[in-house]
Amino acid sequence: MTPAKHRILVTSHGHPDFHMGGGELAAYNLFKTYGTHPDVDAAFFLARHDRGRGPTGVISLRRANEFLWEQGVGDWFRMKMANPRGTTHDFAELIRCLRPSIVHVHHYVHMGLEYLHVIKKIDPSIKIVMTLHEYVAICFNQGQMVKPDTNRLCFRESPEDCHRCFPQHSAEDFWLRKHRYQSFFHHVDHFVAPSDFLRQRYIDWGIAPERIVTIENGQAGGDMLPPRPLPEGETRNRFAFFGQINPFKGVSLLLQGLAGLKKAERRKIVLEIHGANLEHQTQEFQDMIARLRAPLEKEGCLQWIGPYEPFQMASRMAHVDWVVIPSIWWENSPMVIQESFTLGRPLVGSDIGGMAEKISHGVNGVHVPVGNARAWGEMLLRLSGYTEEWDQLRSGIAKPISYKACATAHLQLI
Amino acid sequence: MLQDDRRLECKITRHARGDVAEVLKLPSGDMLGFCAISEPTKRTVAPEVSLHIPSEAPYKTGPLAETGTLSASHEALVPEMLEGKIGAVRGAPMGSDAWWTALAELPEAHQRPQGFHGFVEGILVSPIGNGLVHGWALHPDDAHIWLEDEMQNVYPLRLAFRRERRDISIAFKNTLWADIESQFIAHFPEVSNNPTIKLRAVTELGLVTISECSGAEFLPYDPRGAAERIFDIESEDRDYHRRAPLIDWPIIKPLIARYRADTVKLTPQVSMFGPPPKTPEVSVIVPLYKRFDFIEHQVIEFIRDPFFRDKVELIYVIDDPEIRLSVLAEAEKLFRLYEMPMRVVSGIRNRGFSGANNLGAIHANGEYLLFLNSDVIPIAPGWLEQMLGAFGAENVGAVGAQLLFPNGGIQHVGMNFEYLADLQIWSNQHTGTGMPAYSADRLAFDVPAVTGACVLIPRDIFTQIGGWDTGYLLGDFEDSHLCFAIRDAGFRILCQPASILTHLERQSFTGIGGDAFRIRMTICNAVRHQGIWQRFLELTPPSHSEQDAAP
Repeated sequence: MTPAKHRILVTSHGHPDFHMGGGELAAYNLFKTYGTHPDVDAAFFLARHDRGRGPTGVISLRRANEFLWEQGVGDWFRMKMANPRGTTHDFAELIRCLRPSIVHVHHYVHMGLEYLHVIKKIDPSIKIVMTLHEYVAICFNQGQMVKPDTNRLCFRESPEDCHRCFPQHSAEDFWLRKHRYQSFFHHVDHFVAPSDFLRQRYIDWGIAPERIVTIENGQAGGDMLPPRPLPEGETRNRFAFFGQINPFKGVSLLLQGLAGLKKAERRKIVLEIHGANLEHQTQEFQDMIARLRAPLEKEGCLQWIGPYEPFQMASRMAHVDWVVIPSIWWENSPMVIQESFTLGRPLVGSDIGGMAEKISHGVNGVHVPVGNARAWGEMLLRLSGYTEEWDQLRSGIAKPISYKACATAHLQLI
Repeated sequence: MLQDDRRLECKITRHARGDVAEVLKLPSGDMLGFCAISEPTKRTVAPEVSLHIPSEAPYKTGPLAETGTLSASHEALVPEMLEGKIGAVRGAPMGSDAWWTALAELPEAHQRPQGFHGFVEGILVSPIGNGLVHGWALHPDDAHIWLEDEMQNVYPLRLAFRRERRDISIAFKNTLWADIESQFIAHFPEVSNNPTIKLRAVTELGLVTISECSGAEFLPYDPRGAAERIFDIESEDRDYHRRAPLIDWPIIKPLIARYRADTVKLTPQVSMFGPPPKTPEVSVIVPLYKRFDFIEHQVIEFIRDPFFRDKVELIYVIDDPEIRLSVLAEAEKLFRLYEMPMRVVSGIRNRGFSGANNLGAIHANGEYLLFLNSDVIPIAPGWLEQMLGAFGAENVGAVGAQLLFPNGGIQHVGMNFEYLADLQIWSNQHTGTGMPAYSADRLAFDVPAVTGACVLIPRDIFTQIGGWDTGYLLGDFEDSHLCFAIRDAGFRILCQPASILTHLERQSFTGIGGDAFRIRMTICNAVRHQGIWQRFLELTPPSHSEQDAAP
């Protein structure tokens, strides 16, 4: 049977025109791909937006089929919409006007959970697909499943455990929080997890296994970059970090690891940091990074390159051999992993969660014990000594799923 | 005693002269006084007294000038002379005319009788016109001692609630009766707005006023405020069951009645959000006090349940004037989002759990009434139909649900009663608290009572028993009272384990607990409860869970 043509609204917590996070990009890329898919009649994009005047609730046009929504969250513990009318009136109007057959929800942060209810209230036949980007529903610590203050890894939620992390909220409050999330999640027809690891965490939390599938985020096609040309006698010794710099991302481990090596050893290694948003972190964190960074830069083994635009990714990756991902939280499916594989760069990543799942140790990259600075230093030193290992790992890289295959996989859910 | 140098037959007694001791700076006046009483003689010569002290020459006073009748103060100096008058007072019922007449004959003691001490510490006057007098007194057990007001209302101290006061015992440790239960609290059925209360006693030295106190503190009109104040008059929890009927209830009970009578005069405000079902099968009545953020959590569950849409009328009763406007705003917002019709009834003032539930019932149209706490949250649709289904059994008067704590352990699968020997009260206990949940497949079973946090009752039975009893102070026991009233009318109480909801009550104290106010309130309410329902409480099997263990 030929499926009916779909009208798909993709919702996101931000528009990549203004905020370039992994979740926003994944949502936007999927929207663009839906728009060209033969099974799709029309695709729309709604992104939460902040004009600096608070959550007015207003929805406005960004460009054809793309909308911005000035909604906010008034109660982060319960993930409640800040402006009720923005949801019950403005958003409802959008649904009535666009008449989607599918709403592909990429997030509810900054918007509140209530809009899920409004979709079904207007038309219960609209299918809701929700992609889960981190562990927000499970964990109040920014969805990281890492204990506040100590950064210890968290393996399970329960009212009692969560109350210990946040003593100001009672165990009963945490029960209510979970109950509220689950109540709204009843409206969702299909959940999508970009990693098996995240899928399992949500199954443990209470989503029935048959309601949640793993679909990796799609990638632009194209060929792998050629290996970085090696001058005579040189090894595969250039490493790069791409992404946000915050305490969960583990950049300090790399710097401490390098500092722990002998000077002669460090001379064999070059580490590039292509990082963004350090200026938004606490002063304490910024100071720590600055202290670690200065002597290494002076020596020359560290190159602090700074933020990049997506189009610069390929040119920057062309000049390095390895991409590192030293996060101390579980991660889900970090975009940088798929990008590295697309461009033909093996990865060095922490041995937990989404990183351990996506990077196969000894096949397309290597694992490093999470949170262990010394192990990071030693691993960079070891990998920089050879070229053969790199060649072998590069040949182990499989091409990631394309945008189109990703969109098709989603449409097959319905 | 001599007359014309002739020795008269006389009886000599010794008694205390504290005044002499004081002047001579002696440690004690015991036995310093003496009294010689001779047979009457006809001679007109004045007698004299001759003192014989060993190894001293006899001392003669010479003829004593004063003859004739002894004055009252003289009589008072000589205890034996008062015996008859004291006997007359003690023999008459305290406060009777004969007593007052006899008392008028008795002179005031010229000095504080030894060992008698006391102080009226305070007078509390209720707006109803009765009051409490409290203080302490040291006296022999058989003392003729009482409190009296300026209108000559007399209150025998032996009727007062008494308890030990260690501070008094220590302060008076060298006196005769320092270790008696010195504290007293007395209920005066009638007391003026500006009373003077005397603590008085008849002693062998005559009538003595031990302490006097003027002016009163006024108790608030609101029963809770009044209770808070009188609970402050200290006494041990273990004695409270004795004190409550003597002291606390006589003050609180008429205040509760008056508060209730005044509340009836207020017209509740009713706001309707959306059209309710025309002929609801069940009215769900939820009282709101302080917190109301639970409403949304309940509504989110109600709308998932098709039975609710078609057959249920939802009524929230605002029982807290502080939150009235916020609740109305929240209801408006929730209705816009979820479109779950609801009626919001505001009782204008706080009516308590029973009063708020009764108010909700007045505005309910369902054949059944479900009383639900706002912190009880369903976890899956179908629970209410399961509760209704339990009425298929014979003679069922009320059905409760299986309530779980957030961590999944049992909060409620029926209530039982436990006699707390230390406090001498029956307390309500939830059986199986914290244990693993009962299987939802299990059939509904008989229980002694169910919690008021979630109870379903046919409207006609509810009407027949007169609704929730509003005679308790604040909380406690209203649910067991309701269940006993239903059982008294010949019906059974069931718990339906298939209906599972989460109760966000904190698992805090086992037994009764909380602050001093809470404990005293519970004891007061327990005293009232067992006064009415003793026969059911004593019927109670030792423990439901013991005889019918969880699977």
